[in-house]
Amino acid sequence: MKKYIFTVILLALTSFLFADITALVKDVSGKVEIMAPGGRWKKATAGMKIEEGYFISTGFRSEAVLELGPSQVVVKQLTRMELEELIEKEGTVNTSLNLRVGKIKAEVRTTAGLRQNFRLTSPVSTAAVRGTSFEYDGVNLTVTEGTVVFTNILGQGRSVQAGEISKILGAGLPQSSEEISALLASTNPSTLTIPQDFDISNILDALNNLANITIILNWGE
Amino acid sequence: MKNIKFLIPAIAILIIVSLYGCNLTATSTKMVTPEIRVMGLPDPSIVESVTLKIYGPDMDTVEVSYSIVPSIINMAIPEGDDVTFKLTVGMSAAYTGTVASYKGSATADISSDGTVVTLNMSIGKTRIVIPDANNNRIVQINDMSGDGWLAKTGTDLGFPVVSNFKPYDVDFDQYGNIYIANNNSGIYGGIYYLSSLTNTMPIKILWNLTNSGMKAVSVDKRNNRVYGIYSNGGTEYVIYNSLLGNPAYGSAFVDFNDGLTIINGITVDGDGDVYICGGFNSDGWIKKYDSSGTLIITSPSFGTGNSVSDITILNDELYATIRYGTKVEIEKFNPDTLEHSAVPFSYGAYSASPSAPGEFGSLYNFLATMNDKLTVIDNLYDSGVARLISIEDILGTGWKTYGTLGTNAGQFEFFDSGI
Repeated sequence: MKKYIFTVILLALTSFLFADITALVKDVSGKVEIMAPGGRWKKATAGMKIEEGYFISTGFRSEAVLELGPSQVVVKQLTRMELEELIEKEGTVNTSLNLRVGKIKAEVRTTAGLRQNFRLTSPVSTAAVRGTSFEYDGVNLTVTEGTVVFTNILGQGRSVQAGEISKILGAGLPQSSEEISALLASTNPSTLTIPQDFDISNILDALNNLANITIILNWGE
Repeated sequence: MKNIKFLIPAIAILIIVSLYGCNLTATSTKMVTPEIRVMGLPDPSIVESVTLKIYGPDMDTVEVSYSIVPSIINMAIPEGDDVTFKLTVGMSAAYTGTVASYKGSATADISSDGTVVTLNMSIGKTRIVIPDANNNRIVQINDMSGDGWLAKTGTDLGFPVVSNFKPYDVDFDQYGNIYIANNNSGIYGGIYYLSSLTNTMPIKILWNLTNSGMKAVSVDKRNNRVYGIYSNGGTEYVIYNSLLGNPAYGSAFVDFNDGLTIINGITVDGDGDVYICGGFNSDGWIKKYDSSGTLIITSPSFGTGNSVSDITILNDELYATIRYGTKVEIEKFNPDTLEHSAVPFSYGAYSASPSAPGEFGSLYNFLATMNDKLTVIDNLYDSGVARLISIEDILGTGWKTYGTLGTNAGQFEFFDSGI
């Protein structure tokens, strides 16, 4: 009997330490599909529950809004993303999204008594988030609120603050807003200073027209 | 024990031989092969600024600064053709080497991700290195303000006696190493290599067997060759050697029994063609040769009695200092035809007490600074004039002077009579 009681207590304690957070498809527009681990792609609809290991895919001019616990993620068009982890553990909500391709916009919110560990990874970078709002496509990061720690595949990174944009190029360090703004000055000098209410999509459009280059300095050694 | 009286002189002889076997001595039979200091990624501690400029037909100039000297830069720029990349690395004012800045430039079409642009870095600008002949020293300053004054006398450099060192002319190679024409008439006469003024023991790399003093030097940066001019027995000679030549006696470049009875200066253009100037002949002042010594062209005669003191190439134009009596001016020539460039082709005039811009005492050597300016020695010893003059073009734009006659810092004693 004592053994049975102990097991019940242990199960209760475990459920307290590791609590699943509900993930839902809040809204969809256009062609949005979901695939469970080992399953097939099927049409996503509002209200569908998604779990760890699920993939979500959006088509051209399509978009999905996900609720991941207290946070919200807008999955932009032509995106494929995996929900790798969504769990509450020891007072921290761990969320991990693997962005294979495309772009998302996230608003990471906190709830009373819980910390957020929100991570976005791509083949070339990782964005670690603390209570913020940002856009991310695996290479470019635009933060509109809070702070995002943006690192390359080597783990080298920088904090990107609200109002800043950053870009990962290869294994290079994330570039600062100033560096990118200086480059954008070539097409639109008014983007040198980015006001808080500036339509950030203009900058992202400009970023999309940039080409990644590598400059090698030959010192004759 | 009896042999100790032989041992002491033997040791003394060994010490003397060891001392004379140093790089300064031409009598040593063992040749010293200099190791030319070449390029390399600058130490961050000596770099003050790193600036990358990007521009093209379809974009405004973008300028990005870096806090350290990168070896690779990854960045994103707008797509476009003929995009030019220019990187400048500026050395700190406290750096005592000869290089003031490095530069690298390339143009590429940027149409998609992954374009690799290589910037071959080279010297952008050098410090000003001055042969202060009668003070038996060589001087370096950062610019015409005189900041960074650094002077080394003959004994500072390792010559046994200060008067062994009488520098008449200086040039740089492509890496910023210094080549000095030492006009000492004894065994120390010759062309010396010195990587920077912070070093001692310059290495003698070109001389003639009669130990005549060298009065001019020029480095062929294309063919890695050094030229020197000397006089012997009333005849003027031009000899040359490779920068790493061994032996360093050099080879005769051309026979100067064909017109120029006095040779004053020499310069080499980017193609390796050699310009030699002189005077007191009726045939011409300047001659242009290819690197094999074949005469390409002789300048038109400018009249008997005139003299060209020195010549230099700046921005693909040939400039000469003219000094004869009261005719003292800088003239500009087309390097292909050796004829005067379009008017105005001359600048300046003689003054017994020069002070205003355009007034010269007596013009001598151009200094071999690589800084997009003409820097020339103005020396009128009897009037107390010993100074440097810097201008940017034949109009005298950016006129600056530096120095007075004397032996202290900020002072020079170039020549006490004509050379």
